[in-house]
Amino acid sequence: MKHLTETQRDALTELANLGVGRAAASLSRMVAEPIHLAVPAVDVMRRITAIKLLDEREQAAGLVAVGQGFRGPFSGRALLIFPEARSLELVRAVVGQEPSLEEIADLEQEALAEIGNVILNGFLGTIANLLARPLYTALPCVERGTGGVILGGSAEKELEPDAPVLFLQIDFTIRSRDIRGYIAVLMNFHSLEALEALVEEFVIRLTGSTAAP
Amino acid sequence: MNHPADVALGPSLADRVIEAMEGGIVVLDSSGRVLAWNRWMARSSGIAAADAFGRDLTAVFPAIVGTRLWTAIQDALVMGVSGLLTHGLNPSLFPLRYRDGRELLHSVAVRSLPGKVEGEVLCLIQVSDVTANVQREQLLRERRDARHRAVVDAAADTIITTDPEGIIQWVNPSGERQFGYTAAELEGESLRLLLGDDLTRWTEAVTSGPGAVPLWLTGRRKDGSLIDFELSLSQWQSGGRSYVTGILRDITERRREQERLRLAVEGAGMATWDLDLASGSAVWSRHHFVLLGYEPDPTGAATLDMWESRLHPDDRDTVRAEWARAEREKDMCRVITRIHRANDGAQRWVEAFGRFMQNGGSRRFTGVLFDVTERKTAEEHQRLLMREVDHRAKNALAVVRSVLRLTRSDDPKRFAEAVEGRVAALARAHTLLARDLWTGASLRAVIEQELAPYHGGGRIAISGGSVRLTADAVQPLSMALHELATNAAKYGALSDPGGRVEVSWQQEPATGAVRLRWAELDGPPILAPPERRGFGSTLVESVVRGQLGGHTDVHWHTEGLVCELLIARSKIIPELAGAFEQAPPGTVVWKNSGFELPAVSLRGRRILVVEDEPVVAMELQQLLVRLGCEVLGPAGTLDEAMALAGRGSGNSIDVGILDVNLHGQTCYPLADLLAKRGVPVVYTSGYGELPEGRAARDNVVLLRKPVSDRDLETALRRALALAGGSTADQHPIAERGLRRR
Amino acid sequence: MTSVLVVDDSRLARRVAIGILERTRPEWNIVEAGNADEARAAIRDHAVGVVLLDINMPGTDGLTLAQGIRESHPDIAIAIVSANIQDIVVARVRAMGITFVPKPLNEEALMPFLDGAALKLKRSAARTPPAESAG
Repeated sequence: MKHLTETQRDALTELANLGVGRAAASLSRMVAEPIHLAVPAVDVMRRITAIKLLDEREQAAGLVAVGQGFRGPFSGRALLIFPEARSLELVRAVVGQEPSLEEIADLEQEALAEIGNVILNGFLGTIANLLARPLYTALPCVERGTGGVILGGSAEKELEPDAPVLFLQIDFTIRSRDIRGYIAVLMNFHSLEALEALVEEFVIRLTGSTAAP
Repeated sequence: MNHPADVALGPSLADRVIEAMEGGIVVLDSSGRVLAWNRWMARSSGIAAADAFGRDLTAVFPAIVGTRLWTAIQDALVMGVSGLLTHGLNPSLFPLRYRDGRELLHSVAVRSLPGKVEGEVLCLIQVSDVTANVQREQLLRERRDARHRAVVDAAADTIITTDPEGIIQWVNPSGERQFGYTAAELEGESLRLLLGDDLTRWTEAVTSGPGAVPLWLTGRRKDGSLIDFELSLSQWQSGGRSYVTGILRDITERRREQERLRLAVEGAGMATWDLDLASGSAVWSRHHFVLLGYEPDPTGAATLDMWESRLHPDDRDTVRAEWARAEREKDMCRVITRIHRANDGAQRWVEAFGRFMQNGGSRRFTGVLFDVTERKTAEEHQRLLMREVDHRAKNALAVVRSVLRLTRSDDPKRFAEAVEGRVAALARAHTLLARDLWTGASLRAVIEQELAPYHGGGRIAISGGSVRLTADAVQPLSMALHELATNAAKYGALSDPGGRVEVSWQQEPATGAVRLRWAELDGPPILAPPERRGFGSTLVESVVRGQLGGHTDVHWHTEGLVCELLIARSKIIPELAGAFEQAPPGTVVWKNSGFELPAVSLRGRRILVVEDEPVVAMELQQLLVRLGCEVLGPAGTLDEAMALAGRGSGNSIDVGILDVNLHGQTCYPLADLLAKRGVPVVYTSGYGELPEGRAARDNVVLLRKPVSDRDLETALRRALALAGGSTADQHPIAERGLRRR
Repeated sequence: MTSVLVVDDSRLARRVAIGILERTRPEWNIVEAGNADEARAAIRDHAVGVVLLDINMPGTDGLTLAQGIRESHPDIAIAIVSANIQDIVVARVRAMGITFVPKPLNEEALMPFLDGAALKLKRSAARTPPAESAG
């Protein structure tokens, strides 16, 4: 399996950092609370390993994710993931409304999709800008279930479970609301090679020199 | 669409689909001009496709400039990202309405589309109607709220919601009613307005979390009056904020009812208890402690053992058996038992009613207790009285039967006269006894009554000191005197107008017996004793011997009959008892009157004091100390006194001063113990009477309460002298300053 | 010589910052740190007068580190350089009297801070002997 060089990993981490900084800013503005961000983790792994990682994190408690596919010079899927039990808390934090009965949560679910859309667009849009390439995103949709269901999203069905992917994770918490979640991004390996070239360009643009040490 | 070009060319399939869609479709070109505007959009916006087509969207809807919708459209056109704008987060997107004018609630999806030309980017805007969803949600919310509101409005209890700082957010109609404020007046105010300082108890309950223990608070109405509440609390979250809802139940009336009940129970002299069977810990009312002689515990905390240890040893098994029976049969437990008070050891009768109950998780035994000593005493008196009445009636009938059997006469008329006379004597004796409540009768009264028919003309002379007969001696003596009088009237001195009878008596100092002398004078001369003894003399003989404990001496002098009747000392109520009827309190009375007080010293004497009345005991102690005596005790109960007397050798006690009645017990067991050791006893009593058996004994000194120091000194000297006289060998009287050990 | 300390867990980010510093302040000695511990050691070992600081780092975050430097070395000029551009975070940084410069870093955005810091250093050097100001 292909591994990232230290410089590549560092550049991708910084790229994610920049993207999530923008995303957190828009989320923070929506809930009027500070968002605590962890340091992004970036790695190349097999698709099936990424799925397992997600499942293990929440001990199969069930996940809710706002997923958004993207396509451009590289393609993949960005996810905003919450442990299921707290998924609608974010909506309530934004809307400031009383909790409603489970049966009438449709509108709240739709609102969750919109919130995810704002955050993920902030993230993906920032990265697209930094890489100076257009990135087309699909409409967000809310998915529930295990890591397999969420990561196996319809657009990537043709992908092999053993295929290597770039897996990027950033944890965040809104402490005052007891909300935690994370942003995960998956890119398929074919596109990763295109991404490497883009990262190289990105480093040069930032530093004015080549990325190779 | 009525665009002429469309009519000419005919709409493509895609155009027709877009036209037919149940949702708004707008397509913008890369500079934001309208390329497509379907029928749904025209209908809902009121802007025809012809009017929108080719125009900038910001010109069609000027209000969208600067909104998130506009940003999303630009992002889609410039960056290619898709955006979702929902009604939930964006209440107004496009100005859309139904035909009837109602607002059309909608969400919008914005995405980029590749155009026909390479690199050209279009923007597709989809509008979806969510009005039905929102309305459905609202309906459900309202229905749920209505359900809650119905419950809350109908509740008789006050329901108040506050924020965590205790600021009132909301109050139900019952709360308005009970506190006298309107909801508007309360909302935004601190709960302190309603609870005063009890607010701290509310906040404590909030912080300590919902407990099982109910909490009681006192609330203040607008008019200043107070209400007692029982509070239950719950904490909840909404929209990221936390709230506290309290339900306050008015228990003012319940409290008042409980207080009334408590007053009724205590007023009736009842004590209450509540025992937890598992732990043996109990809660007693104040009176319960008092009844058993304990210091009341302010919290009422008591134990089962505190009860059991007070039970009279003889009653313990009965009480336990009744307890077991009630528990087994699920019945009311009822016992009457003797207890000894913890503080003074006094015996009291108590009656207890108890019931076993299951109260939540604990099994309890609850009930009332009251003092029935007076009732029991009255019952005892009545029982004794009934026995006495029965006894006397039987006696009287036995005597009548003897009279009938023994009266001999051939002449029915004379028989009837004799019987009548004897029964009449019996009845007179009865009357005499009844007058003095069966306590006995004076000897003189008995004689005077029997001789009353012959009293005229100075024929009867009666002389003698004051002697009081016991009740059982009155009847036999009356019978005897009747026989003597009848005989005298028939054959002796009283049959002659000049005849006389002298009746005299005196107490023999040696034996204490009373010698009664019946002497007939100046009657018909007696030449010889009668040959045949009639019933009369037989009766006199037999009653004196049998019922008066003495004997008769009959002398047939020529001048007349002289009959001497000896009445045993036991049939004489000691003069000390007879005398105190007239004697003032404090007088020392004793049987062997005329006795010179020996000059015995009281200094250094060890005196055992037994007295259940603490004040009297203290007074006695002071008097004794003043007389130079050393006081043992004072003991308040028999047990205590027995313990004192038993400790060490009996020799160390010179005199015992014993209260006759010690909380319902007599002091006699102690008196006997002391007597066995030769220790003289001075009885003290408020009643001034000793039972026959006691009074008849030697060395008895009785001191009536209240006691003066002079009386006490005299009594002690007397007691010591009597003891010294009778038991001088074993107990030489200690001299001044000396003490025997 | 005045040292400028660049603290960032990303080597790329440090390279960007260092590139700007080399171009604009060639007279300054540049020291690098990848985390808070290294940063504290660098301040101890060098006469640091200026610090550029990232927020999101493993271990102690940049805000906490800035607070510590503020207390122990009030003379050091600090700038937070971060992609964490939440209004609340920016406001908090400014409240501490620290300059906030958003990432990605560029020369134009950083220059006002560097100019200000240079002026401050010059003044303080004029007031006190260099040995002490390095403390």
